[in-house]
Amino acid sequence: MTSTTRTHLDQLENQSIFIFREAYHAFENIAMPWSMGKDSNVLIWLARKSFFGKVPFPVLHIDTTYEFPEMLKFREWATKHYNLNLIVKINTDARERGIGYETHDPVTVTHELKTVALQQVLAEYKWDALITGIRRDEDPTRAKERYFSARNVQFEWDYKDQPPEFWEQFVTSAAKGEHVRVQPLLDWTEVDIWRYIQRENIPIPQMYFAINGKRFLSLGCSPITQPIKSTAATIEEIIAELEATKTTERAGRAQDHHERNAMQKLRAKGFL
Amino acid sequence: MTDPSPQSAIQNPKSSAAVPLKVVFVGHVDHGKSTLIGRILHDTDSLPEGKIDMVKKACAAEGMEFEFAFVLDALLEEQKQNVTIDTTQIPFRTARRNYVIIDAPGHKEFLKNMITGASRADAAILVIAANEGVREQSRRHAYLLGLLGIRQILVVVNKMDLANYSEKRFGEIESEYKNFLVDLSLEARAFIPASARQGENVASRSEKIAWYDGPTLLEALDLLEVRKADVDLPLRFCVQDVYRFGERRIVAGRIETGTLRVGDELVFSPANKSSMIASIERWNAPGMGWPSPEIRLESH
Ligand SMILES: Nc1nc2c(ncn2[C@@H]2O[C@H](COP(=O)(O)OP(=O)(O)OP(=O)(O)O)[C@@H](O)[C@H]2O)c(=O)[nH]1
Ligand SMILES: [Mg+2]
Repeated sequence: MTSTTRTHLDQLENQSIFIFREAYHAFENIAMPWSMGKDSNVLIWLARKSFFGKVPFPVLHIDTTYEFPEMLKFREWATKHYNLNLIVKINTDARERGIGYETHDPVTVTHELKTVALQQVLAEYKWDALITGIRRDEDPTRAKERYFSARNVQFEWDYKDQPPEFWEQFVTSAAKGEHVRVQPLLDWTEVDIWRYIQRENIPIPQMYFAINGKRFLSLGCSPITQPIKSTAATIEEIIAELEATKTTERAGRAQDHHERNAMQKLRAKGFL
Repeated sequence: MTDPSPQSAIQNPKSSAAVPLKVVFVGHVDHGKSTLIGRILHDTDSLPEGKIDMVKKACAAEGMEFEFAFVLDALLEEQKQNVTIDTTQIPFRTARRNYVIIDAPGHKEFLKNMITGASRADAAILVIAANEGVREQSRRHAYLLGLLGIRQILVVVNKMDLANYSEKRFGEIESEYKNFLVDLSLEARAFIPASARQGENVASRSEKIAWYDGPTLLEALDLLEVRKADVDLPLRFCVQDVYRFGERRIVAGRIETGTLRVGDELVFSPANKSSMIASIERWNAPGMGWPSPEIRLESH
């Protein structure tokens, strides 16, 4: 009997598509947060593969107002190019109250401009599922995540009592006001993402590639996201660099390192 | 349509692109599963920069000695009680191949989390502490491995430092547990005496356990195999959804066993109706060149 050989990337892609389709079948009202970062763009790519070329739900950009200008340009280009139904949300209330990196600590600002903004827009559109691009290898709390993970009305993650998840049986319903996070990229590593971007020619912002000896590993808010020293200007060079390095991807993100277990606290309160 | 995924026959050890082996660490609470994993990652120089310092700080804050387990047990609640609550998956590689290591909790309250972790594994490492010996979850976890279809099992007799590295103590546990596994129609590929805390027989051979001439844990791991897809069984295709494009109906789903090709006759359950496969559809994005000229943006 013949059998086709599936590579690791094929397996990851298949599993992600499987999860997309389960979610689309199970939930009434889905949205997909999109940061324009590399994982986010892989997510859009996989959604198009799952649904024969189109993304059948809105994509949501939580605009912190501290976005890199390059990212906003990319947003405009990709929205048109992929024919996306884009929703942009800013927590204007918090900005008017003066919340910002100039005056507040990164955990507070991130919570207000990302998590609270997400709460506001979710209350407005009443989505019952959000498709996220988080990966287990990003940080130790994400390493404990499920593919389908419920958040209560307050957006809290009950990480101490997560549901069992096996034999592809998932949590596929949310009570009123609650939502389920659907996480198709959980199994992917940073290198997998790059190999896939390379294999599929997925467009991404140029800031990931080195210019003048620096590049970004991960793109968050501009005041608190630092580039690393690197000469990697192509995907091959980035992959080679990742295979040789021991620096973590989120090392350049201030809010993760603000205090012990900073990420756990942020994520327990609803941060992606 | 997505297919099952038979792994490539030859794995390229040099490449992070090869299919990883998924291995779960199970066994009774406190017998040293997380410590063993932390030890493996540490001794193979696989931890990211700054990780050990972070663990040192967390241990100091809790007034504890250094705990390798904190690499996995990252939740504040886990560190305060020195217990694993939820399962963790972590990528890892040796010179031979890639792994996904799955840490499972041993406390009986968290059995659902153990099953969640174990259900994805190709193989299991069952950890038994030499001082306490075979306990309730040592047995229950083996039952569950059997139920989940995991046939490749290694047993680590851990905390040998607390049993004076005694060959006799190791032999007692080995024979008791071997007999127990026979009752479940399971068989361990190896019994390995080790000390996670001292790093004996984990990544390097122990001089304190000179009487043992079997593989170290790392060597034994490299002998395990990725579970194969059952392509030779009859087709079982779980339907996820039906997409309608005009007159066309696309049945979306995944092959669990067997294979399918155009022209095959299918029986749909539970209605027992049959139909023929007209085409197999897979949407591939049209190439758009890279980097796309339209999105060339100014530099930062
Ligand atoms: N002396 C000694 N202590 C060990 C050894 N391995 C682990 N320990 C200690 O045993 C305690 C429990 O270890 P863990 O690794 O947390 O045990 P676990 O099996 O992961 O526990 P759960 O996940 O909660 O089921 C810790 O204090 C470890 O330092 C060993 O080989 N020798
Ligand atoms: Mg543990």
